[in-house]
Amino acid sequence: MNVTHERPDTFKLESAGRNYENISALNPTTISIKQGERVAIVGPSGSGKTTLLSLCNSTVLASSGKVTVLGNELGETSGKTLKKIRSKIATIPQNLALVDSLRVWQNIITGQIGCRGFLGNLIDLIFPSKNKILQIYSILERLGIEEKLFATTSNLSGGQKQRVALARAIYQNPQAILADEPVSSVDPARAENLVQLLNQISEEENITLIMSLHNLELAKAHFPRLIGLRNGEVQFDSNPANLNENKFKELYTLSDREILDDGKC
Amino acid sequence: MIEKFLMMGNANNINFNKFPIEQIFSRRRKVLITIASVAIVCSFLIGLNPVRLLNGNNLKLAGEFIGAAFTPALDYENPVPGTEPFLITVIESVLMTLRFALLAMSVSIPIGALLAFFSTTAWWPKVRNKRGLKLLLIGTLIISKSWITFARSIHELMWGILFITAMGISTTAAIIAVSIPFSGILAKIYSEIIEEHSREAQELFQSIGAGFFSSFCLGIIPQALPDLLSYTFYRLECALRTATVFGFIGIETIGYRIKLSSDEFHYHEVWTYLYVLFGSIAMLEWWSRSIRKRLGGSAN
Repeated sequence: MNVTHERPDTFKLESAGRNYENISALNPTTISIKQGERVAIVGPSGSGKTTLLSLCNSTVLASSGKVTVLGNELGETSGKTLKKIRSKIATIPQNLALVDSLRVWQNIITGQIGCRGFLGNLIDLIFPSKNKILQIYSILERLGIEEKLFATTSNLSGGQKQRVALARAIYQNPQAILADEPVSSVDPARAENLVQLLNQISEEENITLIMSLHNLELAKAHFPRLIGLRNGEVQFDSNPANLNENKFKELYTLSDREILDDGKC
Repeated sequence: MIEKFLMMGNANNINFNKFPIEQIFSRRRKVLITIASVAIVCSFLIGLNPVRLLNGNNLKLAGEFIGAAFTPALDYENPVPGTEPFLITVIESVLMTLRFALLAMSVSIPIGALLAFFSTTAWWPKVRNKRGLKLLLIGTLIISKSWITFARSIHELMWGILFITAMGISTTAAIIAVSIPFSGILAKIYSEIIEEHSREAQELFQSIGAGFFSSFCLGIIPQALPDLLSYTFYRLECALRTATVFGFIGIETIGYRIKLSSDEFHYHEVWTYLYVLFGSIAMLEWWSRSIRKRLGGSAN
């Protein structure tokens, strides 16, 4: 008997689109991403990459269609259930959203802010348990910045801050990581290293990874699935090996008007 | 000057004819002339006359007062047997002033923080389909902002005179009088500090399942804390000065002692009190800088 264990969907968009006032940031789109998949979203600025990620982590609601995350339809979910779903989806935003005045360990410990109430979080921030600190230390060790455990975040370099944001995502113990252009402000060597690290963690822990990137070469080299967006529309959704160079050229060839507009939104 | 600008522009192939330089300089001239005129007219209307300060008696007193600055008193200028030593009186009066200021701030800070919380929208949860909640939030915002404006609009000295007239000279009346405007001022500044800080961390925390209160307190307050503390210490200095001034209306702080000495023309004693007051504020400033530096904020 042949038993196939199909991986469940982490994210499922069914004709889901998002408008901001009269502008369509993402046209109705149907995509499904399975548990443990590694997907890169590529496209020029304003193509809808951030909107797609925002729909996945329920930061914004779909204007049309349906978004299902971990088996729960977001439009029908609220309150504690929604918070529980959100606590399983880690986000690394483009701006990293670190609190500069906090220590590195404090920023990382906020990764589990969705799992405890206000008092619990406050206690963690002021009187953390030894086990939690050790856990954070081992994550930082894996990322190569364990000596920064007690450093103030504002004193870190850009690359170190990115690793802290990554550590926070890992500490959250998520089922998925959404990374919005996490390497846009680091040099190529560090970008390569960070993308490799994220992919490694995703494979080892079976965490779904969705990353938006401008760097096509990085995307092609590390991700088995690429989704190309342009003007809010999916241009391709495939393994990079099945795509020819023309597809990528078409994606990034902008008219003069598009260059000036720098995206619709 | 305008010709020089135009010549420079032509030398660098910049076309200054497109810019309204004549207009800009004319507008600035008009503004400066208006400010100067208003100052002159106002000084006439209030009868400002610096020449009056130069009459013989005033100059003599001024000279004595300034001269006493170099020889502050270490004992009473007219000692009365049986009175406690002068320096003990000085220390006790500055401690009384500090106590008054600390007590006034202890009451003002929690009230100010609460008012600030209700007068900022930074923590508001998403209220898309909850009309009742939205109305409640807006109502609370309007009430708290109105109270803040009212409390701040009357100076603490006025509040002090009103309360002391109503309740008699007492420290309680004075503390209440100071707390009303101080809590309003703290609330206004706290809410502005909170509003000007980035909400990125707060939004991230909400996106990973934190409630609106947790994400506000842990996402914005740690960023704002150095500025909040900085302003609170500044307000404590103001409270010290207010406590001193209240001495002139009967509350037994260092201001009371300064008034007594000043009424007797004991200017050396007055300067001793002033130097000790200056020392207290300097120590407070040093303490405040060290705390803010530890928190990672600007030491300014």
